[in-house]
Amino acid sequence: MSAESVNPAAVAAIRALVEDWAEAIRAKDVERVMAHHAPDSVSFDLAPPLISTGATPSGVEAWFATWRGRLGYEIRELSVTAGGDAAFCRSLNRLSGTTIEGEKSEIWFRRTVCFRRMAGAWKIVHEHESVPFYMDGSYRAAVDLTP
Amino acid sequence: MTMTATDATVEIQGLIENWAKAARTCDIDGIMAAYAPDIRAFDAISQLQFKGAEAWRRHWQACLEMGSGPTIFEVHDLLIEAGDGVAYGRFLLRCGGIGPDGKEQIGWMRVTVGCRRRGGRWTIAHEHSSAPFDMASGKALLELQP
Repeated sequence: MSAESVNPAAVAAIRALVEDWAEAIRAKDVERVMAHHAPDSVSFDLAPPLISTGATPSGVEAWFATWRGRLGYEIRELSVTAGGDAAFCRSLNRLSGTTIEGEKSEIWFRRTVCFRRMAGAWKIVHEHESVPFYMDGSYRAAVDLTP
Repeated sequence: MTMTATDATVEIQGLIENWAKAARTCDIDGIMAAYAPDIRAFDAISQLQFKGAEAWRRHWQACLEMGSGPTIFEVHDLLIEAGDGVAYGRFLLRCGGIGPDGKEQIGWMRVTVGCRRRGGRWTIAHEHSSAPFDMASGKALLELQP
C-alpha cells in the first residue's frame, strides 16, 4: 500500500467503527447501530428494493424483531482504504441466528461500506450487501457459498 | 499539484464513462484500463469474489462471450464522493443485450466502486455489483425498476 492515499489513523478508526457496528448487530442494539449511520445513507440490500435511502430506527428494530435472541455476525477478509475524509471497506460476512419461527439460518455475503468524515467523526454514507446469483438458467441466489 | 474534490470527481466520472463505453464495445483492454492491478471484485454472478486483475479479466472475458449482438450497458444515477486519494462511487447499471428475437433482454444492477489515486491516476480498486434476491423464492430479482 502506498502512503499517498492511505491514512493509518483513519484506517484504525474505520476498523473500530466496523467492529462496534457488528457488536451492535450481535446485541440487537438499534441505537448503537444507528449511531454509525449518516442520516441520508443509501443502501443496496440483500432483499429488494434496488436502492433504499435513509436507514431508520424503526426499520432496524423491525428486522431485529424477526430473530430470536442474539445474532451471530462474523467478518472475514476486512480491507479498509481510507483517506482524510472519504473511505471504503469490503469484507465477507456471515450472519447467523434463529428466526422467530424457530428456524436456524446462516448466510455468507459480501459487504462494501463507504464512509465520510463529518464534523470529525466517520459515518456510514453508503452500504452494499449481496450474494451473487447463478448463471445456469435458474437465477438462483447463491446463498450456499462459503469463503 | 494539489487536486480539489471537484477535479477528482470529474476524473472519476470520466473513468467510469470510459469503462462503460468499453463494456458496450466489448473492448476488454479498455475495460481493464479502469482497474487497479490488485482489484478485488464482488461480481453479480458465479462466485463470492475475484482477486486481482488477471482473474477479473478472465471473468470479464467470459461475460463478454455470453452475450451476442449489441450490448446495453448504461450508467444511471451516478454519485461520486472523493477525498484526498480515496473515493467511492455508486450507480445503477442497466445492462443486457438484444436477443435473437430483436427484443431487449435487460436487468438492473446496483454497483459500488472504491477508487484510489496512485501514480497520479485514479483507478477502481474495488467493485461490487449485484441484484437483490427474493427471500421467499431464493431467486435474483433482475426486473426491479429504480
